[in-house]
Amino acid sequence: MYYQLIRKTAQKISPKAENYPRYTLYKWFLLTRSGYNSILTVAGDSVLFYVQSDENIYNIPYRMKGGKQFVCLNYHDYGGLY
Amino acid sequence: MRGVKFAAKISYLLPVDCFILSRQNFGITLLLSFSSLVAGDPLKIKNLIRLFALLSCFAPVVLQAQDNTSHINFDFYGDTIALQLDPSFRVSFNEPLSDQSVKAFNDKMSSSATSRLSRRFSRTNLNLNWMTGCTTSL
Repeated sequence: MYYQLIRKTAQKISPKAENYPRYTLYKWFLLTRSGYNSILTVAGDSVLFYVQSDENIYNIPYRMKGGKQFVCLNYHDYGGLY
Repeated sequence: MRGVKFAAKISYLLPVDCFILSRQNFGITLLLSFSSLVAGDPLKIKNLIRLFALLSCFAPVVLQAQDNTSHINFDFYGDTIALQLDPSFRVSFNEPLSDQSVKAFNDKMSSSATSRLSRRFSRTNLNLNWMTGCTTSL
């Protein structure tokens, strides 16, 4: 729910269609400043945005870092390439 | 708020009687005491002219300051969210994606006025964050 608020705010400040990396960076910045543990990974022209979650989530990429699970929040924007 | 501060300063600087009545959308409204206008005292009339001259100098500054802030509104599950954004919060990002460009973006955002506000009201500072000692990684 809080992420949806962040997402909508970022969309208003920097629309996704206008500049996708900037839109993702705004989400990352706002979520991080809100106290959530998040990660950005950059690979070529793609930027993947992860947030820490201990819940069991299926069909969404995740990565482990420091023994903690980080779930990808913008996987769908790349059409499931990763 | 700047307009009100300017008006407050003006009211102290000038010998005429003036009071801040209200802050309108496009500046400030001053209520001049009736005696200043009709008393016919040349000194007070001269001061009144000074006041208007001074206000005309500050008006563009006040208008400029107000135009810089932008507002965003959106619907959030039936509630209207209205946010006032400082222009420094709008950071451009046209460089190719890299660690350096992301760090540069983060630095710009961190130095923005809204960011200082977000730090002040962040969940961590309100002790609502259940993840203690969390760090940010690029």
